[in-house]
Amino acid sequence: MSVKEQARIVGAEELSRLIGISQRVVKKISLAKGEPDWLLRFRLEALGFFSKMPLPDWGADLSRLTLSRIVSYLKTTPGSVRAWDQVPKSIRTTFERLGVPEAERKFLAGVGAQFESESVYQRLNEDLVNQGVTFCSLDEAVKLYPQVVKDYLGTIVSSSDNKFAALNSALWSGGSFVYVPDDVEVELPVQAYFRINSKNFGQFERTLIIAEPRARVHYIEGCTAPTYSEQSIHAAVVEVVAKESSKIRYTTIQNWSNNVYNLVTKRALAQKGSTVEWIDGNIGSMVTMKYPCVILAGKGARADILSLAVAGQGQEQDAGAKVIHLAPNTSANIVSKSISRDGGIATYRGLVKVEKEALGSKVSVNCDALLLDNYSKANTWPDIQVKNNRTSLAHEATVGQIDSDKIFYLMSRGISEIEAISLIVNGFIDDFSKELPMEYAVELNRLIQLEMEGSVG
Amino acid sequence: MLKIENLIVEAENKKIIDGLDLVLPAGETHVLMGANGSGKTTLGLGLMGSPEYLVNGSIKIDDQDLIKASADQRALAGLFLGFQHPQEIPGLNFRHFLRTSVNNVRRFRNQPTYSVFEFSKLIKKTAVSLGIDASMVDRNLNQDCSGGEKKKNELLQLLLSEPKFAIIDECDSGLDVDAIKVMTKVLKRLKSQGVGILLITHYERLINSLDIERSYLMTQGKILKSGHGKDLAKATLEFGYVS
Amino acid sequence: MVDIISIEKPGQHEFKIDFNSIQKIVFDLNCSGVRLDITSKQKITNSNLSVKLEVNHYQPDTHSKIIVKNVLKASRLELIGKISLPPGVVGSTTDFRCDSLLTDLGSAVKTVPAMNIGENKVKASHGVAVAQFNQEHVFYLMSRGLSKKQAENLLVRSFLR
Repeated sequence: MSVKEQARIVGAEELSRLIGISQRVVKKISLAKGEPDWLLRFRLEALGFFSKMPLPDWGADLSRLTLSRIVSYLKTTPGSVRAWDQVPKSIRTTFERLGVPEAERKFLAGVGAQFESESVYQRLNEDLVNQGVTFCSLDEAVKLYPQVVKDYLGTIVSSSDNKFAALNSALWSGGSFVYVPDDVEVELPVQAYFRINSKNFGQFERTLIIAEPRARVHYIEGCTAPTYSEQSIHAAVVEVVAKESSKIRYTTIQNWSNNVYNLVTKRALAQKGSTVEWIDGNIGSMVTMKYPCVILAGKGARADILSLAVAGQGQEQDAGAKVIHLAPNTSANIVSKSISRDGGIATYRGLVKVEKEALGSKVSVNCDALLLDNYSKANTWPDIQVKNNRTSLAHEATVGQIDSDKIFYLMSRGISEIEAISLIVNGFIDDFSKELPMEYAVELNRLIQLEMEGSVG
Repeated sequence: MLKIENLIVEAENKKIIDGLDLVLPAGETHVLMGANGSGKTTLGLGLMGSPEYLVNGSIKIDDQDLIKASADQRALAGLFLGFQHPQEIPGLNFRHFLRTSVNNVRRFRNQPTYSVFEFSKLIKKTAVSLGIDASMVDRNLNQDCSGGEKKKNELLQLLLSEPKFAIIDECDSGLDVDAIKVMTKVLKRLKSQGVGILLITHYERLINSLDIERSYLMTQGKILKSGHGKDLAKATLEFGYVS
Repeated sequence: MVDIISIEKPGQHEFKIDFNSIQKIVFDLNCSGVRLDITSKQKITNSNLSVKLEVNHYQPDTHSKIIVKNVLKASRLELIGKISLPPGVVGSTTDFRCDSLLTDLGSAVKTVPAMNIGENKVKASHGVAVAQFNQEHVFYLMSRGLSKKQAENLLVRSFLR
């Protein structure tokens, strides 16, 4: 296959699969995409960081993820997409029970080619354009709005931030670019390509969201249905800029197949009077390390982080939240819920840092972990730092199993034990699910119900 | 009829109820009294199948022995317990929960189930008749409710469950005078529908206004005295638990 | 310097710890029926302290309750807590509370109350609070004739009770 033909394939990941990761590769990718010089230099610099930086010595178990294995993951042979009858029965059943549309099932299960929802996407895009919003892939944004991308790319998450941010910065492809001008309030949540398009499930997605002063936008990605990926590493980077008095909500639900290392760096900069909300649901993957972060850089800025982690058999969800208070009168609210069962490990890893200048900060953190048996684990590792004497901070965490009194009470009303547990667990995650758009919440509740039935039945 | 024979209820190797017999015919209202710690609440929980206790003996509803049945099976068989300490379950919508419960019972009895819309109308109507704020049904189960409100929620569930036999454990505490009047009406209505009621209460007014077929005085896990009508109950109220 | 305290007898065990004089202390609960009560209340003045506190539950029906209260003046405190309830310690409970009052801009506190739970039939909880002087309380006391300093001292005393 010629480079030109290769260039037609979406994503640097396919290229690197064929060739292997090196400066030559990065140059070829950049060339194939027709990128400007500065971006090529950006990628090469990141590659340098990647090869020099060590794996983190904390967090989830990445012991089997050596550099050579990362390279070999990238080199997996193309065309290894599976046939429908090779899809595990449990996944097919889940699709059925969740009511996932036929058309979506094959794509999510990794069967066959991409699902292009061009026409739907077109219509959606027109709505946004009419509102003055720019929504396209980041690849396109580089071509259409090079200066804007150059001004912001890598400013919130630098390429040297961590090894996987470096990997992403070198090889990124796909992901979204959302730009909302001053005073524009986007009415409908911006759904990345109606959630089912290979660009949205790329291996090294890079997303950049910018809200100008007083703008408001809600961005959603991912889905609760089980999503098969032949790629074993997903290292995404999301950068969010909330300018003065703007409001950005970013909702993610991931249910990656159990072969995936999901290593994501998500960070937002909140300027004066702005609000950033991260709604982060982690249901799938073999290992997830993800700590949505808000830097409260402007006076009166606010962070709201809602995290849900469900760790089942063979899964490790190492998730949490980070808030850095750099300015006065800033506030943060973090709510984390986790469920561990069948040997799953759920860890809340959080950082709240209130710097000296951040006088008048208010912080509230609530972590609740549900542990359903004694071969699963629930850990919390909250790092709480306050450096001034005008801060109010409260952090509470609980770990335990479902209260048997509550199960008995529901059973005394004619509800079976399995149903009672399911009702209680859905109640447990209610703080999270009530922030989701209706269809997602319904799907999530059904999914949890299925998981509970699976573990109890 | 609800027939309890030689009931033994143990917890942590201690016998809390040691050989209790009681017969509650359909349509009758019996009153159970006893000092704190006499085992009244344990009796209710044990009859309903609480996993906290080891229970032996027999609990028969119309010749069907429930002694090995799980709590939900007992509910389906027509037994209802109005808890002294109702549970608060975060995030569980009251209306959704109750409709699930009521429909389970109706399905078991081969009765048609309620749609979301039908049930919503029914629960609101019933709530209002009990003096419960209609907005309560949209909240999470007993969340942020006062003691009195939780008791009223128990009565609401009692009415909608349509049980055969109901054990009401001090659901009058925390209720104001008007609420007690409502509760009286409810109990009278249930009686007329043939529901057998075992009422655990200290409340004189309630006892006075109801037709009571039998009273019991319980002490240390046993029924010490029992008598026709409400005389024993009234005597206990007047003279206290120490005979 | 590590202090390792192994608790081998059931019953109530109370410890008062002064952060000004320890660096790392580990409690191993090696016997069922243990109730460990740790209290640590201190004023930290003109000091930089780093303390590690570990409690390991190794038997069923073991209970730990840790209450830490710190008042900092021109000081920095780093407290790393590690509570472990591995599989098997059925019926155990743990509660860890750490409240810190910073009295001046030169002070800072870092608290990491880590918990590793592997047994579901337990109840584990922790709470961390960082507070400042309640200005309404200060005002009230001053309106009763106390100087600002006296008011704050009184509030510090009540915080540490």
